[in-house]
Amino acid sequence: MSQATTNVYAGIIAQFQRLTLFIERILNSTFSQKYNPFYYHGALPNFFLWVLFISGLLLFAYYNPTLEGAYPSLEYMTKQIPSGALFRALHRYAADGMMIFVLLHFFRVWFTDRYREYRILPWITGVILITVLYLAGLTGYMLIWDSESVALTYMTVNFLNSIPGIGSSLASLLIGGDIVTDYTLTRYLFLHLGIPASMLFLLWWHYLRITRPVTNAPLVLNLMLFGGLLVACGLWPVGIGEAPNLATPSASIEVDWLYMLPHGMLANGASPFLAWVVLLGIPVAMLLLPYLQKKQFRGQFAQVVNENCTGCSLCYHDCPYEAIEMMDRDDDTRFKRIAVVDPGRCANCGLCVGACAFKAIEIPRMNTERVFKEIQVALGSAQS
Amino acid sequence: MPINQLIRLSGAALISLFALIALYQMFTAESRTATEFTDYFQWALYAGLIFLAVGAALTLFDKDDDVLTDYKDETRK
Amino acid sequence: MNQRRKLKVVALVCERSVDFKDKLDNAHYMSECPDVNVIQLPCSGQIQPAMIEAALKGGADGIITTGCRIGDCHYREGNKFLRARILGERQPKLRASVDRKRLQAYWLSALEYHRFKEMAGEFVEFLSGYQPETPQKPEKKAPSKAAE
Repeated sequence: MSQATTNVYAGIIAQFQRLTLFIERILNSTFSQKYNPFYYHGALPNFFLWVLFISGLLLFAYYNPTLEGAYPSLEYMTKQIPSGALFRALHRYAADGMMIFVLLHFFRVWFTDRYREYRILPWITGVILITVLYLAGLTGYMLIWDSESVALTYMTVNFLNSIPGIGSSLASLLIGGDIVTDYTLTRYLFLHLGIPASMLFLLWWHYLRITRPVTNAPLVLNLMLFGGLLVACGLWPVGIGEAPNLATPSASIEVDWLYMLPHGMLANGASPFLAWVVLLGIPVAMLLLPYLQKKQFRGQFAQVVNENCTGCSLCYHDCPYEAIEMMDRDDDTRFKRIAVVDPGRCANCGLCVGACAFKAIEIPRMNTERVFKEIQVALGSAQS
Repeated sequence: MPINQLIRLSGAALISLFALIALYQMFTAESRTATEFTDYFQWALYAGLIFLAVGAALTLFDKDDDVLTDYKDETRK
Repeated sequence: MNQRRKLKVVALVCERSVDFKDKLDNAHYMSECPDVNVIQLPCSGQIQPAMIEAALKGGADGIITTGCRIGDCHYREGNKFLRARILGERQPKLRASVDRKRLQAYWLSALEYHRFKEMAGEFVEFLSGYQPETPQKPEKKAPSKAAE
């Protein structure tokens, strides 16, 4: 990456950062900083995840994953069970809401430059999480098994078949054989339950390097999100399409662009190749983004001044990225433990410096001695 | 801040009410040959609007616009 | 403006919060508020209570600490930690004997230079008329504050 390109990219990101701050300033004036949704961007998708789990549980209880039974079970849920249709609607709109807020999270983290170097692990697991969420949502639409779902299945199978070589085996992996059978529905159910289950593991990984992740938004924001969700359900009720017919599937599908990006492109006449380029290009581009900018503090990290460290572990508790570990020490001091910094995790932020009362930890980019000196200079020159 | 407490409580009460209704629905779902109870979308719309209103009220009364911390007023300990 | 003594106010500012580009002279004084000397740090969380104590001991009239908006710290929690330290809620705490009237903190984003200027101006106004109750001997107040 040439210097010029890197600079142009950094300049663009800086402008987006100003835009983000501008939006936040507006939100601060309405929500105040206590409830600014942008300050809980990572926690908001979790709320939808809980709604999805709970509403999904109720749908799972009634779902019949067979070729003949799937549609009647959906019909039963929608038309016979009190509030069953409402739970279906909640499940669908929570899925859309989750993707929307995940994307908000993604863009804010990107624009505010909180995605690279010491944050690379959350970034990579985040991209995997978005992909996994996409697959979970897509399989959910197939699971409904009305006429449109059949069309969606055929479309996906053709889309997979368009890959030379491995395409047909991927397609049979998806539908559980060469043709649509009972196993197709079982496979869909497995995918739609298994993929979200993997999200729990991925989320743990996502939070691994963050000492105190914010996983829940305040009650007020959750209340408003749930309110919004219910209003969406009330305004646009979710029904059920025509009974499936394998020979004549629905001629068109209602495209949910959040979960059917390639399908929407195909339905609008794009070639499968282009749809694949977009589908695979987006996550690959996301993964490459952190490497477009030069490292800020190459090779720098917080330095423990061994002779001053008392092993009090205040820096260990305050480090936001789990970069400090307390180790046993057996040198000639009377202290039993010492702080040790993991260079790969260190953000050079200086929070450990603020936590230290013994001048025992320093970050190279702004030594405490330099701060004290600057204070002295400021006070000395003011006297004249 | 009693007003905040009040709004907080009513928010919690609303959520509990909803949870209770949902539970009741779950347990009575099979035993009913429901026709008029199949569709709660109208109800959802009103409940959603109430939730939004409670949330909005809370943000209105429970603000933290403190860009200034004046420590002479805030020696808490 | 009437002639008053030039104050020594030190502002310890997170480099990601208020943007001081083209607002400082060569000696880091604010051109629009010449009593305030700005020292920029990577994060407000780096500010040690000892730095505040040292500055006051060195004769500063007031100290301003500035971080990003509460809720938005680039390093997640630096501004909250600093606030808690000065309020005495987090170790290492600021000494109870330190005159809290000489301390203010602003939590502002990079776009809010003007609010910083306004608030710093008011603070300087306040400090110029401020007489500590027990000048030079803040230790006397220490027991009562610590007991609270």
